[in-house]
Amino acid sequence: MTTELKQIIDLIKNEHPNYSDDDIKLAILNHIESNLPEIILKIKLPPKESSIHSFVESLKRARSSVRDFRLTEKNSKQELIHVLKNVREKLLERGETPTASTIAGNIQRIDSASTTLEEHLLATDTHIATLIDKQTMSESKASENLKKLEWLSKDD
Amino acid sequence: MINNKNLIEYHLTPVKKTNLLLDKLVYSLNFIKYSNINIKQDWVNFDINEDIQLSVSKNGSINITTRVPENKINETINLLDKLSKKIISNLAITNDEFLIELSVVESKPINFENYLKNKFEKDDLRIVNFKLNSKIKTQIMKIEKEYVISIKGENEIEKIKQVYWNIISGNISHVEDLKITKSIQI
Repeated sequence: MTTELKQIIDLIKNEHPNYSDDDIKLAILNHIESNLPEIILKIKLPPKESSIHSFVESLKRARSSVRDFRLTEKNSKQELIHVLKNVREKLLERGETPTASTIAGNIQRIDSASTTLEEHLLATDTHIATLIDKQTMSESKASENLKKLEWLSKDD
Repeated sequence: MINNKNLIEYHLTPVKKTNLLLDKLVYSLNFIKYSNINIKQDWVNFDINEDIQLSVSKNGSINITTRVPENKINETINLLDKLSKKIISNLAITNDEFLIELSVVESKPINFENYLKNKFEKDDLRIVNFKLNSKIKTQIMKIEKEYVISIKGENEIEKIKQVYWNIISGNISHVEDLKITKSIQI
């Protein structure tokens, strides 16, 4: 800021070499003061993000994180269950039925526990999405969504 | 005035394992018009718009979430099923066996709660697991005044939808493997 102001003073000083820096500073301030109403009207400031916009963006990021977590959870669970089912099959092939039953029980418990977490994440997703709607005052786009889905799913 | 919309999640998983290359996957799905795309771990995520998110994983799983008002649920589920089958076809996945999981977040009371109360004198619903037939597993979780209904285990969407509407209407004659959890620790 100081450098930019100094450059302006130097430019003016080139035209008026007999004046000191302080004289030019004072002249600039007087000029601004006398033209203030016009400056306020015409001044161009960089766009600043509103607090609501920033809040909505943070909500969208939160929603995206919830979804990523849910999808990772689903894939990890499927992978784990697949591995455990293979173990169970091998145990059955070896005739170790009681141990295979224990593994089957583990699979069932992991599946149920994971579903509970997924459902909590789904509910959280809903709450954040509703909060975004409220912040942006966006009305239901049901017809638009259905048209979009119809278009995407149409036969080629 | 913001209308309540039900969040619907449709998840389809091939029964046999598949391993797709993510760049080939994106190329094969070039009919999808999206506002944003990103790849996270094994998933390619397409944001279709604010209310429709579609993800496809390298193991061939498809996940679509959208939000619609109550009167559009049936139509939407059919479209989600049709879209996921189109994606499977475009990815040239030859498996013909899939598991479908449908989850719906309901903000209105469901009549299944009355069924539980009348038949089993259970009125403190938190988490309920049960089967309406041997192939379809269902879980209902009550979170404050909302219900998250999750139905999985069938290839045919009509059977999944039937279970969903039976839960909503309370039109249930019997359930198998009923397990009720009264309270949950968070």
